[in-house]
Amino acid sequence: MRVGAIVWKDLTAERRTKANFNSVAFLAALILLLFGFALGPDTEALRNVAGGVLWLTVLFSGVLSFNRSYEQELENGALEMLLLYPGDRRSIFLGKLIANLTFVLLVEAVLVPLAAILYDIPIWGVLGPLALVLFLGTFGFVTLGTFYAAMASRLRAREVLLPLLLFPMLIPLLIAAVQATSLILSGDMMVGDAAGGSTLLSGSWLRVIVVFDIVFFVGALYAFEHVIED
Amino acid sequence: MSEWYYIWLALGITWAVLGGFMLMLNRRRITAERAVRELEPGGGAS
Amino acid sequence: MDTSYSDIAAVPQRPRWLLPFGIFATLFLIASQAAALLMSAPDRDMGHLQKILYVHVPSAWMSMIAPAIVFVASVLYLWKRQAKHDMVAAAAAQVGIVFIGLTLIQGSIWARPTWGIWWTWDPRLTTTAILFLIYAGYLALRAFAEDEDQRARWSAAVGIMGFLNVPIVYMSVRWWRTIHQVQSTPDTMDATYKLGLRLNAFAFLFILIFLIALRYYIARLERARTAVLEERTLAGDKIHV
Repeated sequence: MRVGAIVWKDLTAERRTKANFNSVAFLAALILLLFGFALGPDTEALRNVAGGVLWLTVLFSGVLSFNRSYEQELENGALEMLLLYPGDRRSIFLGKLIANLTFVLLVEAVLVPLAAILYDIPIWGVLGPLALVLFLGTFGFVTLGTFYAAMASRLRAREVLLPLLLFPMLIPLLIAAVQATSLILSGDMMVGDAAGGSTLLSGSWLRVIVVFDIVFFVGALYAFEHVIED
Repeated sequence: MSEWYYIWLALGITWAVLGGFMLMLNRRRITAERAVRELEPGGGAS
Repeated sequence: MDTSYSDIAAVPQRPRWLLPFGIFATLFLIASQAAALLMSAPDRDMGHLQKILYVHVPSAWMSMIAPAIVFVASVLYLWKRQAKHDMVAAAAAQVGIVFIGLTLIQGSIWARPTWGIWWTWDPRLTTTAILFLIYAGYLALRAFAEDEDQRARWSAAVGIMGFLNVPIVYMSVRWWRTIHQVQSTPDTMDATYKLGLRLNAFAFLFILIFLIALRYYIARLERARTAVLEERTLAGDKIHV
């Protein structure tokens, strides 16, 4: 209930100032384009690195949204008010997490079709697995992003400190997500199993993402109380 | 011959860094101890 | 709860064992290094290059022990809220990053004559690099946080999360690498080599303990001084120095 209120508050604030979403989504598109220029016009080569490019774009554009999600409260002193309300502090974290997750997933909803066009990757056949990897990877990313931003957003050096804290922690997630995405995009990860269905060869990477998600979701949930108090 | 170059490079850097760090901390300790000692004649602190 | 950072105004005494232990650790290190380097015969595969391992392997071990100390001290701080645990964590992180940096440099020097390149995406080397970044971030947070109590809580949280990541980082980098290349580990270990390594492992451990203890003692001194000065400012006394 309290979680819902925070999600609702953040998202309506976001909707009222659409400028933020637009600028982040536009920046993401721009980064995607810049990678294209940097990595050359060879379509074949671009398609091979599309997984890595996609995830780096998500990280670089997504990181901009986390600090802001606390700045609104910090500017008008609403965080203190939020803390005064009875109830679990964890619900603040969960609320922020869900709001940020929604935001980044929406950016990805713009980003992925654009990447499919620019990098000539056929996503229609693999939309299901791709969405799964994107969601699980983004969940881990946003969990840690929301957690570290709770600290970084309250310091003067927030713009540089958040990526400094966040990106090294994300390396295993980045490796696993890029590997899984590349396997899916290359199209040869589907192998028939005995039951006549198909299993993901990228499944072992997916497992790494899930472990990462669980470990840091639980860790952040518990550590957040100590971070936010006062 | 070139083998020894890498060996001495690795050993030298290790010894220099550890030794340098130890000296730096020790100097900082001496400074801190002196600064604390200089507080005492003033008294006043409970 | 908030008293943890203001109740200690007493000036800490230097532990009597601190400096003798430091001298002992230094002498022990010099002796073990000399013994290992002089005893070791050239290895069948690596030749004299294996001498690098007498500093590299112990450094790598310390690069794991120091983060573990940060982790334990961070957990203790969040649990007990005593300033000493925060100072231990800070000391271990600072000393640890020196060993992590050393391990990286030695690994790089080792890689050059062995594999012909300064950098390889070897799982252990890569994990060490990521460790370096994680603890650099930890120290950056400590440098930027101004409020003492806030800094202690935040860095404890970051220290815990960073350590949780170590096994995940290592496993993911290893799986990532095995796709491309099987990693070779030297398993030609004779008795002299093992003895030399063991001696130096203890020597490095003593140095690590001494440096952390020294750093912790300095932090206590500096904190006590600040506390006394603040007390006097409040009391309206004239401030010396």
